Amino acid sequence: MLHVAEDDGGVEDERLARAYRRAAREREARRAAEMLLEQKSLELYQSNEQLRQQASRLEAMVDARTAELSAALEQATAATRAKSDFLATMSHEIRTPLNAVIGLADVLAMSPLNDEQERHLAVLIRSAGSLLNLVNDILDFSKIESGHLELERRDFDPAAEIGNVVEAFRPQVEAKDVTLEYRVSGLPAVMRGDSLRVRQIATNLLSNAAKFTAQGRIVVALSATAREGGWELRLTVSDTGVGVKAEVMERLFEPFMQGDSSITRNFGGTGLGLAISRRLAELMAGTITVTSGEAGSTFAVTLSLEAAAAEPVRIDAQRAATLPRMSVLVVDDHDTNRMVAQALLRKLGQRVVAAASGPEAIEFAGREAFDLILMDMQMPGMDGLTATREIRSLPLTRQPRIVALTANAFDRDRERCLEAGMDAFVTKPVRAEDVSRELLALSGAA
Amino acid sequence: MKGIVFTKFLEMVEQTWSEDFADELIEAVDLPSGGAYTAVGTYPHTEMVSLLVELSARTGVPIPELLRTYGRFLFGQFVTLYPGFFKGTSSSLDFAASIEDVIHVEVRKLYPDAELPSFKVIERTPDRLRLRYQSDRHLGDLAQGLMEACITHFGESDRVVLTRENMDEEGAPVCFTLQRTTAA
Repeated sequence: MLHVAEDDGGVEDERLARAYRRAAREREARRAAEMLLEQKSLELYQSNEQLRQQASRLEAMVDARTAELSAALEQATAATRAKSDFLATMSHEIRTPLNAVIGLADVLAMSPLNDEQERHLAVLIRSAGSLLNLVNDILDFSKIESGHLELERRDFDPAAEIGNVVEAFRPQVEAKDVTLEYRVSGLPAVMRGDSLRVRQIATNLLSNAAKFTAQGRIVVALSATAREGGWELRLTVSDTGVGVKAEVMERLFEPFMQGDSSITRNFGGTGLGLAISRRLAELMAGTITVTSGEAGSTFAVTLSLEAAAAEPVRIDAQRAATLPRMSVLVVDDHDTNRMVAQALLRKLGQRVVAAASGPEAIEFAGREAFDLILMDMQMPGMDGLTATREIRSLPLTRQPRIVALTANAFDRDRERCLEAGMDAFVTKPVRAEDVSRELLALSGAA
Repeated sequence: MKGIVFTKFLEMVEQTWSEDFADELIEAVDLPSGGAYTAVGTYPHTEMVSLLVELSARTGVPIPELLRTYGRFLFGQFVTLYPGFFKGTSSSLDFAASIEDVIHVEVRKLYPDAELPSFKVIERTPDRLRLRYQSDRHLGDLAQGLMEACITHFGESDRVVLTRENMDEEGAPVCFTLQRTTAA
């Protein structure tokens, strides 16, 4: 029994010891598993951390890029503004002497001249006109390219406006063996849009037709179709000129491109006319196309214009010849400019007083009743805007019509003029026709 | 070698023989890990070889036979532990064909360091699948056990015949063919 008991005890001990060892193994396995778990948790944390850091690095990179881009954009905007300001300044600097040349040439033309003087003067006037056109073209193109060109919305008579352009070209065209026809069909008496820019397109097309047509004819056709809220104005200029080669057509509307380099030699021009015309047409939600063959070219323009707000007021040609006599104050710090304006107004039969500064103008306006004040915008000391505001605040029995004279042709200047209380806006150089128009407007209102 | 291969092996020994037998087996072999296995750990392959040699000596069952038995047991364990792998699969051919590209991809997500054998599909028709098994561990017999259990699991013992050919003398790589028979 004892032997057996001892035996059993031995087996029992052995089992117990094995169970202990088994438990120890299990503990060890658990410890290893826990260690692994910790290690994996740590790895997971670290990779999460790495991801987070990577994300924030990426975010910082995006921020940096965004900042770089905004800075670049700011620089570009500043550069564009600088360019635009430079153009405005140049516009002023170039137009001021041109003002004197053209104005005084106009004055001279009204004086008694011998034949030779008249011929010389004609060349002088034509050259100054070309120079002004060139400057205007370059300025226009720059304005369009920089998005500064704004279109006016004023009622105008399309048939008369284009008719004027056609008539302006008639002497030049008919001097050659070329007939000039103007056909109008289905046009309303008045539309609303930027007549100056419509005229500019017509002028560019006609100028090309006149230049490249040695004989035959030029036909200008103007028509319109009604559409919702307005009109589609269609202008075509066909000629029997040299035509346009197919390979040239595509780049015809690109800036500074002419049919070929010999054109500049033979015909002159900046190569901007068609580029400007196309941009202008596009600004008026329109198109410009060209078809050409052996028998010359046809340029076709379509423009979207609004319906007129009111019935048109026609300027009577008879009345233009006999202008009403008015009392006019010319305000300009520039001696030549003042002299030109004075001479011009006197030739037109007006009574003129001149002031050389803003304060002087206010003083004169307070003392004497003027019908019209031509006010220069850029003057040292007090500028035209301030002088106008001051005059408008004077207790006058009758406020004069105040017209701004400026070398800057930009639309924001126009807005500023109107805000200051001015009635109209004339771009220098002052032309007899501009002054006549203002005088007529005044007599019409009176 | 992943710990699960050891823990499941010892579970099989416990269930086939006894817990005491399993303890004796562990103690009889010189194991650097002390036999304290956890499923998530990693242990030397040589420990498995030592355990197999000892088990074979104690039971008289040849090692290849032990490995096949273990393969069948292990497959049953996988079915319990990873039911997701079996969802949407209704035949042994489909399942075996998905080992390399579906199951092992999932395994690597949990155990990036796992050294998995390769089961490359070398031929696949609706009625026939040829797989090329290759592993540094040369456990073709274990793989065979897994394949056998797979066919049983899908209730296809009477319809699918498994054949095995060793492609070289050392037993690796091994080619398994699962052939559907038209008789059933």
